[in-house]
Amino acid sequence: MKKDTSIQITNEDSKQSKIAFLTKIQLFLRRVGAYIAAAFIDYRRSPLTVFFSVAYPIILILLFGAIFADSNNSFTAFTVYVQSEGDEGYVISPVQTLNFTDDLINALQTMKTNDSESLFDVHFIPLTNDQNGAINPGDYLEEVQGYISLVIPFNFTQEVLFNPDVTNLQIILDESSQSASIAYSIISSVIYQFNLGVSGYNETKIGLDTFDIYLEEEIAYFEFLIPGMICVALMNNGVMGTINRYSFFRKQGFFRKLSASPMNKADVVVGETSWQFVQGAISIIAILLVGWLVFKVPSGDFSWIIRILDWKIILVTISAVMSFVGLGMIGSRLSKNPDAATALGNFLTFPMMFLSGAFFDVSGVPGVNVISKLLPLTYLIDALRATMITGNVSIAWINIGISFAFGTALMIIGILITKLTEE
Amino acid sequence: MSDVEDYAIVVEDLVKKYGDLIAVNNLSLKIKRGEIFAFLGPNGAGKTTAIEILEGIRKKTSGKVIVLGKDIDKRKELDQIKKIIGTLPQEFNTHLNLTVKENLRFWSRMYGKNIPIEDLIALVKLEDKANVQYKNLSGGLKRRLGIAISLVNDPELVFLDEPTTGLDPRARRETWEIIKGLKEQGKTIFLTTHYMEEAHVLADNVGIIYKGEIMDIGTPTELIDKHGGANKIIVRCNDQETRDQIYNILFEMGPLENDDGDIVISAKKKGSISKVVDLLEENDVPYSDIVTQRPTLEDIFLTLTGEILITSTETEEKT
Amino acid sequence: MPEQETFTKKIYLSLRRIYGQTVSTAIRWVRSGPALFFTFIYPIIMILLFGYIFGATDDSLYTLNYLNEDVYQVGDNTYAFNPANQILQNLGLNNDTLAESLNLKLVQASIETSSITYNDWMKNNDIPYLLVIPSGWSAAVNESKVNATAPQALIEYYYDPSYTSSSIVQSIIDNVLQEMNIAEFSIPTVVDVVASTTPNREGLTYIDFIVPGMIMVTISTSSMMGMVSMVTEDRQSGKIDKYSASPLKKWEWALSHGLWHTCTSFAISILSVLTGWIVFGFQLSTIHPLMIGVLIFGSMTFTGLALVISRFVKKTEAAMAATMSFVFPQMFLSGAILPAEIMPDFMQTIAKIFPLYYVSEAMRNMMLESTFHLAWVPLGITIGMGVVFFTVGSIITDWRKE
Repeated sequence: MKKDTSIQITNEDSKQSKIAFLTKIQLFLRRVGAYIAAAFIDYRRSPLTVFFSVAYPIILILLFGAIFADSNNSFTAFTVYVQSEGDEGYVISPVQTLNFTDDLINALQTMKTNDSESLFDVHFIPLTNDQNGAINPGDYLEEVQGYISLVIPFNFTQEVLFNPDVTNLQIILDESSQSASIAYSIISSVIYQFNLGVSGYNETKIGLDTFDIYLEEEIAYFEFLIPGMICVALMNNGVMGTINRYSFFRKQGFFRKLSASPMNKADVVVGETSWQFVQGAISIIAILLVGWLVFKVPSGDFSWIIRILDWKIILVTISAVMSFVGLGMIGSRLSKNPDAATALGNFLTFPMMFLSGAFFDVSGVPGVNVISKLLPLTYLIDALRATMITGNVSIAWINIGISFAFGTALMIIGILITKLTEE
Repeated sequence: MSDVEDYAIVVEDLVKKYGDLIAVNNLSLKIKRGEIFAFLGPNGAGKTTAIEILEGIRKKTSGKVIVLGKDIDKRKELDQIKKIIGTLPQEFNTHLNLTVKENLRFWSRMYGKNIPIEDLIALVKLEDKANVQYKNLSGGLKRRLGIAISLVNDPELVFLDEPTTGLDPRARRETWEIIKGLKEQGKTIFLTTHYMEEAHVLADNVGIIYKGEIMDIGTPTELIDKHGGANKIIVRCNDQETRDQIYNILFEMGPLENDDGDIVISAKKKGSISKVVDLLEENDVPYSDIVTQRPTLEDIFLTLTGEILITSTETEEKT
Repeated sequence: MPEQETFTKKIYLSLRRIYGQTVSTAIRWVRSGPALFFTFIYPIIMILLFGYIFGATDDSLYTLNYLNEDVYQVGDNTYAFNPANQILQNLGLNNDTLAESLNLKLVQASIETSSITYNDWMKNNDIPYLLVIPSGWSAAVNESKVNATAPQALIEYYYDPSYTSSSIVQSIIDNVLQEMNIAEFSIPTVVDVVASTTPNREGLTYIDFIVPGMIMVTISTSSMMGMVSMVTEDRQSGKIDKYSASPLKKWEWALSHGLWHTCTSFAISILSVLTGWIVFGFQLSTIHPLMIGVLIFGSMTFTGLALVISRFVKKTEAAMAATMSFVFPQMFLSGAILPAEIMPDFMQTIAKIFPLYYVSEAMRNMMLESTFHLAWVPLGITIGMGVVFFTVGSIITDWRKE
């Protein structure tokens, strides 16, 4: 009997403590809920936050999507300026005249991209101006702000046929132009083909066969951009949001007030993290919708938006939110007032955006590629890209793991150094 | 031209409409030089709209406004007015990152007058805060600096739009002292407030404004005499039973019951007080207290508008 | 009462107000974090970033994985008969100097080809590019030497299109192959190309392009954001009401802000040029007095634009959002940091809509001196825009409330 009672008492005790524990959790959740609700109202009424979490990444996608769009829809032909010094050709028979100048120009004009768009836009540089002065092709090129010109020497055909020396074509290019160097290498290959032809070789003996490893998946350039933009949005939300809110709270004595209330540090941190998760979801949905509407719906690919969804996105988002809220907490601790906090937030996020390869591939750039590997954003983007776009599970998991480690570490540091009370 | 000499502000039939909404309706007033005039009214009564029109920073729909003898409709005259008036806009904040001294120097450059800044600082008693940035001042000190800023051009007429709103009672009282000091220097002061006490303490003349219309203008005493009616006799008691008893006994004197459960009787006729006391003594009623009370501006406001104004004892702490 | 002020007195008072405004704005800037960031740290970061990412292409090293599946055959180990070894050597295998000059770093891939495809191996290991010399390739090359009708001997290049560098690596390999073609098959060079740079652009690199562009980007960003935030804040704090009731004129106020932004634009220019010089060896070939004109009228243009925006969007936050929606697209689309020529045609047209295009073209052509004669048109447009935007901005700014 005695034993029974004692057991009953213990049961009763544990039940009691269980109830107390549940009440505690309930109160905790309620406080966190209150925090999220307040943050949401704040968000809705703050056009700047909405801009950074929704409009800004969308602007960037549209911008870079348009600038670096793959050649399919918007390839820009290289503008090449040609100056021929005159070629009377070589008459083989009454019906056939060889004219290598025309052949060369024709070859340039008829070169096509894989999507059968003209590769070159050929313009001609006259030999003399109105005053009958000779036109220097280099000066002319600068005048018209071109970047490459090809000068074909006088009587090119006969030079090639009868001069035992090498005949030189002259290329003048603007060294600071990236297009110029690409155009130059293509023109070189045209001339190489020309050499082959003249020497009687029909074709190149050694060649390169290229394989796009994502050809089957038919991935367009903008799709590679989307994960980057999502992560940039999550970063801006997290770092700027946390750094601003926390330093504002401290300035307003809000933290002091909180520390005097049942709210504790855990509530504030969990509250902010949960809110950032909600805000992140808003950003992700907005970005995906716009990407889908602008790039996929017009071509009739309606199922895209379903295809790219994967539950691992949630893991990436959690890692991102943890990393950036942690970073934001560290930042707000380091800055004394809200003004300085905003500056510091920019200082943290802006370079990271470019260094992490969100827009441009930095893997080959010495120095930058090392820094890039030290940034959480890099792994988050890789994780999301593998999850959503390339569907590469092992890459996704490795990067999610690294991102999560970053998130945990930054979060712990952030929590440790955040103080609700002031010294 | 005697108007010009005597009056700092003359307003005739001033109207301000926003579409169908009439913010200021046929407002006319004359304010003598050297007096403190207060616009008293609740939030949204049109005080700020009216004062901003007088300052020349808000367009009016119709009416005539003469400030210091100059017509605000004439561009040249308005430019001259701007040089000789001082203003404190509602909820004004000057440059946050500039110190008290730097802010005063800045504003005095805007007006091109060379009033010693030290004098202004001394006037608003900010000597020991002269090199503190504005953002680090408390609410009361910020307002004091605001008043000093409104004086950088040694204006003849100063407009103060809600100079004490949001201040704690002590800061408010300090501000009143400063405003009284300005009057002693011979400046005309036009202020708006929604605090009865403030109007009563400071103003020579009070205009009660409500829904864009002036209900009445006069000195606080005049207004009380005119609209406040008689003193009130208040009989307090502790329980409902006694209250009913008192109510019945005093029935012929027209008793009313106020929010606190006290019986209130208007002392219209002479001897009312003794009559009340006599009646209560005769019937041996256990009342706890008898008080007489003079009507306040609050009562006036209630009489004129049928609405209750914010009480002057209320404090709003803003940081 | 000073009823009749003399003309000189009026001018004196006006100048004093402008001076007062400018000085106070200066102090506010110096004491504010974001303003300092956008004015001084931003151009440094941007020049470093873009300079390194786009400018350092000469030093770039692309890690090229290769796999030689070509089976060793008797007699293949001498130069003439082992093209597989030869192509790898030409790409810089075991020859770091050659590899670096080609911007390549060769790494031998180990792929268990029986269990995984090249595609999957690359995807799983996040490999951007892979060069595969297929089995029998050397034999095919040797065959084509004796047999004119033999098929082309192809090596295989696998790439991940998400790496923008994959096309650069492809063109490097292409060039090496071409040279090998010529060497191996003794093709006579009948026609050759002699390349030279345009006379005035010799030795110019991306950094010469980016420094002037970034100067103008920063000026546009900092003057627009700074101006909009200052105006909207002043409106909310009642300062505009106070200005409105004071002798200060709208144009005096606008002019003093324009002046201040011109001052910061000098600082931005000096800072950017110094950064470019110290880190990337940017050479400012000339300091021409007309550059001051670009800075003044450029600042006026963006200050004026900011006045226009803050006239219509009154709340600080909304106004900042509106400004950024303009500033960011302008930054990338106007050809100030990404050359307009790499963009599709329609976007090159769009670039010319943005004021930044003309302002940065003017500055760039002046800074490079050699192209100075091209600066006149954009300079003219800059001056025109400066005057028009500034005037319109100051006129439509409305202090008097409705």
